[in-house]
Amino acid sequence: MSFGETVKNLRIAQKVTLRQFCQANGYDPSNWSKIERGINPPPKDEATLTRWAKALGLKTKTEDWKNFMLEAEISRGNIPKEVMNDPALLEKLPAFFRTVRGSEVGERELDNLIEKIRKAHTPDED
Amino acid sequence: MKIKVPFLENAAIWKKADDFRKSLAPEGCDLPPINILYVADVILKLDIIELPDLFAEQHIDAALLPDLSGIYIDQEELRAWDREDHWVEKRLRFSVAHEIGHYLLHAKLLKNKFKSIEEFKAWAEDRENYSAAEYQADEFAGRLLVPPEILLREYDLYCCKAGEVDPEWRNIEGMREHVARKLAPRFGVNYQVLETRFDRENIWPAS
Repeated sequence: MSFGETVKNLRIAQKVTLRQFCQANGYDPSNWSKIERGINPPPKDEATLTRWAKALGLKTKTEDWKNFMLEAEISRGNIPKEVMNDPALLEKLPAFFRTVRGSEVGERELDNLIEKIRKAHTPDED
Repeated sequence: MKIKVPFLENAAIWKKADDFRKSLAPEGCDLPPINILYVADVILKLDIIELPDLFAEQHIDAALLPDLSGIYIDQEELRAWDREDHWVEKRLRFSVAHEIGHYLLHAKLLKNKFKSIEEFKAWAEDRENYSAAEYQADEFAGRLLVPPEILLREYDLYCCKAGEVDPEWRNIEGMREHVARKLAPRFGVNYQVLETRFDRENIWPAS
């Protein structure tokens, strides 16, 4: 299991949505989503990681705590920093569009949508 | 790309929606207003991915990822949801329920992948390609969010009260919309959703 999956599972085990979790702990939902999806790497500094572990309900010095820290360390080296390429992007483009009042989505708007989606699957710059 | 959307009777869509709603009972999410973000995020474990200006620029509230891993949602609407902006909340509740409809009804269709960006754009620009799928997902969302037995109960209660004031109340112009507006907050949806349910459930079809 990846670090992001671990984070997501721990959050879901608390029965809270991503937005509730972020509101309660003062995190940005967009960034947190990228962490859970394994796009952004875990933080390097231990203090932040410790805060995350506590927010996710882990108790210090337990096996789960140690695994969490270990997965974070491994994950930092595994997450690519490249912009998402087209073949990968094609897997993420929606097939159905429910537009308000059935309005058309023109070519320029689609280009813009494609770039938004690419960005949503690309790591934030440090 | 060709995706043939199979015809589905309303009864089949409703059954899917009813069964899904019943499956939410252990989590306490089967009663309206349904906490649809919780259902999508915590129960179905879909990634909720916010996209800035999705509504302002593309006129889209939400869209399902074809690998079924998540839902794109307009960032501003999610923030409005956080602020408990009820007008946005009602619209987003329906939009997310609609995407869950695609998730449960059209998963097999989504396996047909786009081969190029150009193919995706050509597909997306021709709404005729997927209008049947949109209708089915709308019907799923309406039925999921507005359980017919609860709607009937609420409607009967309203009828009793209104009938005491004026036995001919149903003939008053604009009354159908008025009743839809009165009952909609119970379900956390816009009144238009209730008007559609009046039609589909044969409670008060539009004349």
